Amino acid sequence: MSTHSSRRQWLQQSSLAFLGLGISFRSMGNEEGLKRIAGIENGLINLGSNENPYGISAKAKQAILDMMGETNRYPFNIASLQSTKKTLGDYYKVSEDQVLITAGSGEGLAMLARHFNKGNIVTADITFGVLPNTAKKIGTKVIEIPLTKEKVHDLPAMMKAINNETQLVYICNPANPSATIVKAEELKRFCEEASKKTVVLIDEAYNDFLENSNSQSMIGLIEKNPNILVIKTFSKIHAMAGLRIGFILGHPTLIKKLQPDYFQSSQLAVSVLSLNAAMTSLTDEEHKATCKQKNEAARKYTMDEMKKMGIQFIPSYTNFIFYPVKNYPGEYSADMLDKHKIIMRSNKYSDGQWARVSIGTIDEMKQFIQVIGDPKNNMASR
Amino acid sequence: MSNNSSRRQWLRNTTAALAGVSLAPAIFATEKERYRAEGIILLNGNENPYGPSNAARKAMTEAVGNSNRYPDDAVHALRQQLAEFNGVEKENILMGAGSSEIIGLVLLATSSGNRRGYIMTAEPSYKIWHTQAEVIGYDFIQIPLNKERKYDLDKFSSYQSKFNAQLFYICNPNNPTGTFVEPKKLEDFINNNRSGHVLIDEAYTEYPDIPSLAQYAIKVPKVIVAKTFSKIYGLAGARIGYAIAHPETIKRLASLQAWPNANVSMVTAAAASAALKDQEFVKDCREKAALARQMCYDCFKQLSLEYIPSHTNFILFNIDKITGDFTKRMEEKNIFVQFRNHFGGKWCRVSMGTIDEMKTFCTVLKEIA
Repeated sequence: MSTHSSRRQWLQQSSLAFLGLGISFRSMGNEEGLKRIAGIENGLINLGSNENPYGISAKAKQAILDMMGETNRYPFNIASLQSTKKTLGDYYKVSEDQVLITAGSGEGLAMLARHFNKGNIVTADITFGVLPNTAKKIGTKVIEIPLTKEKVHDLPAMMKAINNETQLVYICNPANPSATIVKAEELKRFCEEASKKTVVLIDEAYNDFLENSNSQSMIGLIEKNPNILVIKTFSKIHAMAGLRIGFILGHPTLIKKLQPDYFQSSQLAVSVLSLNAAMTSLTDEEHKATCKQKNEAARKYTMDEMKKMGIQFIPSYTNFIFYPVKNYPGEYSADMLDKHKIIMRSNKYSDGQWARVSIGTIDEMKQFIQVIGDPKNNMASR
Repeated sequence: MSNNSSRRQWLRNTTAALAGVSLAPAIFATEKERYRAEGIILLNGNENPYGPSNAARKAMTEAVGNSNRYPDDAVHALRQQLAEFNGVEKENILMGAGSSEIIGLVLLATSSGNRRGYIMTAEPSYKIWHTQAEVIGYDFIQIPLNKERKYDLDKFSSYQSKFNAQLFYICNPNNPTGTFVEPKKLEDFINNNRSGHVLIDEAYTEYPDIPSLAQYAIKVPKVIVAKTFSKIYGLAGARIGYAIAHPETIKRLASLQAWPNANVSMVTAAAASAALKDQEFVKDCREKAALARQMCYDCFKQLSLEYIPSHTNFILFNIDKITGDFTKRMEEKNIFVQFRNHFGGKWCRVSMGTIDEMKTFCTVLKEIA
């Protein structure tokens, strides 16, 4: 089997998996076969998983090396890790009993889907798939409210969809895969109103890429409101996708209720190296600022170029761009990989095919622009 | 507060956390204590004092640079490696962040939603997962160990006709007794019981070097074998374990994860891969644990303390004869062990530390007893 056909086969399989499981645009790597990291060494560009191409901070690296000798000990036997929740809580100005640490926000989302397994869940169509897909797999009804024409969460429609059976509303803000945001004031009002009837979960995986990330965050609401949860990850701005660490913030009563679902100790699934690295990275403002700036520059370059060339896209607030490839005859991401060595995502929706490209380094984005900009390649809708 | 008492404090908090109570923060005076409190001997977690191996350290150091990428490649390569190591196919393997995650998934996958069901297990046995099981909707039937302090499988069978448990949890070798049932007997037991899933927790099989039930499990969809890198491989803090089962069972368990094999860190996967290749280290740790056990047995005999001969890296011994608060008295000497109420008496579970640590443990025990 040639490399090309095996790549293609992998993408077909994974697309089938997407369809079968309903997992579109999950922020993860490949199921089988394709060596992504080795692939990068062999000239593939990985713009498929919204990873941070600049790597973890030097301080976080050192934190891993410092803790390495302790990997034979359980987290509970390592003194310095007993304050992890407090460290996180202090940073976000909540108390430690408002913190639940999970193996990536993915595990947190799956856990929440398993917890809220009665009645229905209201979310957007389309959105990040882990929570709604896990819910569907275990037989929970998921009410999916289409995004607006501009691919923004339709909050009024979502509010209307909430009924007596609704136990959870899931909103990814900034949105994945559409990279749009809802205004903080509107979302706040929505949270306050909706939380009178149901738990509201805001996924802020990409919040740190926003200009005024703090004022855009809903964390301020959780102190007083027992029905609001915020989930975050170290995979994005902190560049720790491989370390599997994320966390849920909420009112102490709700966090306490969730705790036993997660094998008693919420830290038990997270490597001690990841815990140490994450707590170090948390306060490494310089590293975060650098990643944010570089992402902004590469994103601006990409959007400017697309605009210049008349290529349609949804303006992005994150580290990825969502753009329509409606009339593309084949499977867009498969061809991007086969013909142009770029790993990315595409999917067919009711309004046609769309693609999602992660923002890599500026050099990677130049290559991407070169590929979609060349009319001969026919990789863009104008 | 003195250092000693604050150390005691945090470890007590830690034990409380294990019992399901939330942690209180601990504050440490010196920089050194950030990672390991000097002079503390931890014999409370059945960890491997020799880990992580040099091979694992090297692999982790090399992997750190790729921490910004999702771990799928590393994890899938590891699944292949584990499949070959266990003589099964990749489709028979599911990775978890410790075997604890695997246990959790099995509990979820076998429960029947809103209707409560039974899990049959032994008393005493490993039970940190009980709280989660209760939340999921399980009640427990705990069958006392037999006279040899082993799982009483005959009694399991006779109770099954009455309770129709949905899940059997069998820790083999058993924690905290260190005893094991012949794997062949386990197979017979499963063959004779048509109903109920069976979870075999093989966290400690490498110590007695008994065969795994892997080959059997992959043919029988209701059987799941849970394995871990936390014990002889010396990677408890790296959080990695796996399930071996029939492909359909693996799929069912995977469907409950965020995505299949999602939760293992890539640095951890690199460590596990290297550790698996380093069977010299495993052999060495096995031999050292046996030496440490012998040293403890000699000490227990001298002190006329009853103990249960163990095949693992821990021993359960009776402390009815020792006056006062045993664990507190040990903690005052900077030694941390687990106190247990079992068989109507007071027992201590002591994990095997290094040979030097066990010498200190024996010396202190002689002072106290």
